[in-house]
Amino acid sequence: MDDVERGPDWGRVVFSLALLLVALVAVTAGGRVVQEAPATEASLFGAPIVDLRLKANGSVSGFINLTNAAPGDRASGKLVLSSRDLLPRDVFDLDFDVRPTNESSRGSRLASALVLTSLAYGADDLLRDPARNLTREIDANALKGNGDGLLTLGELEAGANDLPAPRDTAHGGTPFTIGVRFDPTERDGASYAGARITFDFVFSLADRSEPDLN
Amino acid sequence: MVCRTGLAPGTGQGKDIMNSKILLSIATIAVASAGVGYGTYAFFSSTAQANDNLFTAGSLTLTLDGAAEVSGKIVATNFAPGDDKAGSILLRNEGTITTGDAQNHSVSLDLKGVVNVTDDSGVSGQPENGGVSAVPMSHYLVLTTLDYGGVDLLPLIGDQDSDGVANTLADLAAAGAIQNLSDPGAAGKTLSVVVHFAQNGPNDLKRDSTDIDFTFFLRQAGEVALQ
Repeated sequence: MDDVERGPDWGRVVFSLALLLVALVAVTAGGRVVQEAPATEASLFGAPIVDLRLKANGSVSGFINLTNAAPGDRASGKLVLSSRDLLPRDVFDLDFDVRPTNESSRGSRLASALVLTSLAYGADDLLRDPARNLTREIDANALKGNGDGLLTLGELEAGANDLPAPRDTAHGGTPFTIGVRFDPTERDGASYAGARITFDFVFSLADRSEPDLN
Repeated sequence: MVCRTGLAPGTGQGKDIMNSKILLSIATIAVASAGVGYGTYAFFSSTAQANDNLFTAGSLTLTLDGAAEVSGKIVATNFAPGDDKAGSILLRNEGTITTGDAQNHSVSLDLKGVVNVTDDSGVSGQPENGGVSAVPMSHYLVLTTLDYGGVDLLPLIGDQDSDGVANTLADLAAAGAIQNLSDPGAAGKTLSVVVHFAQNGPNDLKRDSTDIDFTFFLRQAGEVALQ
């Protein structure tokens, strides 16, 4: 038989591309992520839009403040966390961290006197839930806590990890609430003169396979 | 028939090429699938921050005529029975925590007078000349005015020692602290005092002296009052 110059086998090329397309669709449909929202350009392959949002009654910035504070004073704040798309809780989790900023010379002392009276995320009481007792976990941490059985805002720098992903925006999200009280047993007012500290609350919604926020 | 591949179908070489292409296709699909999987599921994340949550401590700062401590505000020298001496002190809360502030704090003031009597023997608290007079000078110094910001405090003193004379410096000392007076606030309130040397003061009080120290305690509600 004579040798003839080779050319593209278009039939096989089209077959391969079709097979590839089918495989892509199969992978998408069979993956762990399910998207309920209508497909958009950004979710061409069915990936959820991982977009964490914070909402507060007032400003998200400064959602909890306690100024001109005296022993016994209280403050509380509430945020609503939501993801744009519904995320499977076995795939995504939420970490949060509390970072002090803009701290005056006595700011850390003040932070140590701001006792957490409540800390809840959705139905989870993060202070008292035995399954996630931050008071126990953090206060026993030699690096952050002082072991006095009270969890202060200063000690909350350790944050918390592996919380469930919040509900999606369409379902109202998941509330995050926090309450603090200036330790009413404090008597040495002079040691707090001019004390000032601000905290940033950082929330990270990520695939569970990613490293924790802190 | 001419084969475009140039190889006769069914030959061993043709099968090898076909197998290679199939394997290449599968590999391509696998790589593409892995890429899609990576881009779709792994390492998606989103971070949001709530910043500038501010915590500041307030302050309570009591000043007396603008200072933390004053002395000699009521000085009566060469004092004799029948004389009067007046004095006053302006109390101000120069701190940020005040009654009725934005945080609805409650602040109170307590005051207490401690009397020291020294007779002309130079011995504090001792009777005159080895016991000639057993009645210290403070029992003859009568407060005729003790007013704090328009509030008459004399009814709170009375005749504590039951000697028949009310509102003496001795009675003030025995009364202990006068508690729960109102916050002087930033505008301040004046404590006005007038002391009268009783006309029945005996001669053995000559050259004696009495001084009274006032202690003022400004406190947040809930703090234990001055005793």
